[in-house]
Amino acid sequence: MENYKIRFKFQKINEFKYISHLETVRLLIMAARRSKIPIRYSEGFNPNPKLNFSFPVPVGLGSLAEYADMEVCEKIDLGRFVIDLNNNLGYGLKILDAVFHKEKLPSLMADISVIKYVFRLCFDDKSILEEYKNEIDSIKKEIKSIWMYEFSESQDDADIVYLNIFGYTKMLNDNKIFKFNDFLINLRYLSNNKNVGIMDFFKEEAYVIRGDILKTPMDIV
Amino acid sequence: MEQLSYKQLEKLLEGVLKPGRYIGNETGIKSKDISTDSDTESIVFTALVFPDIYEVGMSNLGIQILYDLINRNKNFSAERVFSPWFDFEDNLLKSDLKLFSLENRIFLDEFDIIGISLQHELMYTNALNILKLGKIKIKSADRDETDPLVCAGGPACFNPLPVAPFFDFFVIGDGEEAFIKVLDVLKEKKKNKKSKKWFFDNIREFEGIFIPDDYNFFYNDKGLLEKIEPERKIRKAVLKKIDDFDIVKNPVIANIKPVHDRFVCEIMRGCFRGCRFCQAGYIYRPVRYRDHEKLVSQCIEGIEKSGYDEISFLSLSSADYPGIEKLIDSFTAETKNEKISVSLPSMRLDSFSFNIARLIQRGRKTGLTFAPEAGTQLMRDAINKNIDKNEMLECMATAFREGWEKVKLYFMIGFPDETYEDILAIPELVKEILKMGRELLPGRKVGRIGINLSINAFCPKPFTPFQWAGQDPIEVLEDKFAMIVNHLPKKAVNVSWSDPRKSKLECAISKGDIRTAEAVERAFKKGARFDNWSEYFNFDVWENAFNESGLNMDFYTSRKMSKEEILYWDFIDTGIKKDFLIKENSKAEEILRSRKESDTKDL
Ligand code: SF4
Repeated sequence: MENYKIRFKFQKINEFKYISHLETVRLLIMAARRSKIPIRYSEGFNPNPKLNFSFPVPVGLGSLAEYADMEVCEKIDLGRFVIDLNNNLGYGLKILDAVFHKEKLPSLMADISVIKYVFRLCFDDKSILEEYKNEIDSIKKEIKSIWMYEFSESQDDADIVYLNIFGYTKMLNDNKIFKFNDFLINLRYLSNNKNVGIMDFFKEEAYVIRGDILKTPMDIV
Repeated sequence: MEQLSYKQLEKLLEGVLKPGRYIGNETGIKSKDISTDSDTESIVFTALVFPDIYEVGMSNLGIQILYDLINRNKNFSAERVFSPWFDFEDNLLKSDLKLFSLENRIFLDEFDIIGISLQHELMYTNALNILKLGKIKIKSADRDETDPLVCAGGPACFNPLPVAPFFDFFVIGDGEEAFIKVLDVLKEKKKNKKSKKWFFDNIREFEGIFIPDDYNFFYNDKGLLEKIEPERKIRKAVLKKIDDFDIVKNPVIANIKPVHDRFVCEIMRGCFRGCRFCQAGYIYRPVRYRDHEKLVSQCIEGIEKSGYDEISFLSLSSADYPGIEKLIDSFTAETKNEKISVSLPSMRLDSFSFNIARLIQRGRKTGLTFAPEAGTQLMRDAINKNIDKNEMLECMATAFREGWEKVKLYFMIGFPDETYEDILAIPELVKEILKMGRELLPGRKVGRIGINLSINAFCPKPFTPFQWAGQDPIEVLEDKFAMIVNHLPKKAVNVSWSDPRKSKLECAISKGDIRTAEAVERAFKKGARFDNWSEYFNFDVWENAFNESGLNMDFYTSRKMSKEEILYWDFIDTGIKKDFLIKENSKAEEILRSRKESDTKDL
């Protein structure tokens, strides 16, 4: 039987950010069965669907960029694949993109090296922004798990500043692994002291590294 | 209608262990969308409450049936509510927020009616806690016209008295038609702004409706029931044509793995076996079978709509469904490309049903379950568990020869007039099975043989021929259990035992009366919750609660009731005459007497 591999990207937001990785897998498989997607199963007494995910996002953190590789038995129409699955999933779990891939790709789990998190911050007093930036910089130096960070100001709301953190999910050089929940505790502490509100945060993208460049798992297919 | 906001939910979920229990938004939700169907005045809102955690409640078929049925009606909307776990309850209390439903996150006290499913006695305190967390007064007498109606249904309600003061009314028996009829009246009440009294007057005559306020119970100075007023009996509601209602083809799919994670199809209701200890066997009569063809097509539709890869053909005794093999065959033939596995819970194994086990396990040979319940043939005859030992052993022999390594055995101890002989026969049987297995299992499998032995304490239940019996005291049960364990081989047997204190409480409440309700309330106020969960069950709390209510648990459990006594549940008519139960009881007594006369090794 021929083998077709689909790589797809999905979001896990709103209520569904509270579902654990294992539960997400269960829900996606059931939705695929309802959509009559011909998933491939492993052989043996306990056949498992051939489905591999990227590193799970922590429960409670919303994500716009979860990835998975799924094997199917027939060359199906990818447009239908996305539409059918989305008809069988709630808005919180939504397929955003899907592509076929032929050549052997490294597993998502092994390949994804950097994750981008976005924090929406509210400054009552913008004059402390520099000070705040310095604090983030010293956190970066201390925890050694941030590849880079950047600040960007909101177009529509003068009080809002976005903090983008690119955290390592792999040991590459002398870095450490970025632990989201630990960082959040640090950030909360810092923001409390400086009277900065953390309005929202989510995982925005996951990257693999090719050469010195960050690429999304879809880019490299 | 007041709802919890998403922001509030996020706050409540902070630090909670399994937040997925509280988020709703499942596939298969059918309640009305109140943001678009804004005419909430013309819709009757029902909170369907299952007083245990999400994973347990989402596995309950009764909730799924009613949910489906109510929501199919354009005038009604049903939403689900489960018991929050301790961490979430703490957060609710800390933020001073009320418990809410999963679908639209409507606060519990905003509903028109709250229907609580009572499956067994050890969930009563959870039921009261749900009311409390919804800021609803737990006693019917303390609630007024502005409060929702609060009712209960489910098998435990057949003796409603131990929880009677908490509910405005009970639906006893099958809920499908009975509850919908109630909702129709409630719709009129809401539309025409009628009183609760008007509502009760209009549902009182319906089958299965018990309104506690209507009844009075008079006791003599010995504490025995003397009179129930009025004499009118409450006849349980019976769904006559089960095929009038399709099975639930698109159930709500739990967001986090429920305890039974499979498509469930009820193939029949009731059981004709008549085991004399079994309450379900009596209260669910008459036996009603679903039509074979309809089942097959409905199940296929259900599997497609739900996305499950396993189906359970549910009933009290599924091997007794006429043509069960044919049913499994036609279903598997139709779904052979989809790799659906079939399971039959509660199988009563004999040679016939072994064929079925072979059929459904398709080479997997996970294990065979037998429920002889009693050790000796005599006691099995007395309890009317007509499993013949030789037949059972023959069936196991075949199984071992084919390479099945695991056997699960269910027994009960503490039956009326039980002797050493009955008890010791249990380890004897286990030894015999092991020996046989070692001889018959193909070579390399011998080492993997295993017997799981599960022992439960007999608990006399209302509406059974053993309803008059007393329960063995805890110490006696413990001695009997120890005796079994002492005589078991040390290897290859795994024995589990239900906490006898839990069985005692279950018995005390299930055979309880209107006075018991005070003990239930006290235990709840002392903090009893999740009584069915061993880690949270606290017997002392309950014992004190009984004592402080001026009651002795033993009065309800170990006292043998006399046949002349008026039983607390005599005003409920299950359709089975008391005379019939008396006759069945005499048959058991007679069988046991025959032994007494020849042998007096009584415990
Ligand atoms: S124990 Fe099982 S077989 Fe016996 S009456 Fe009850 S449900 Fe039927």
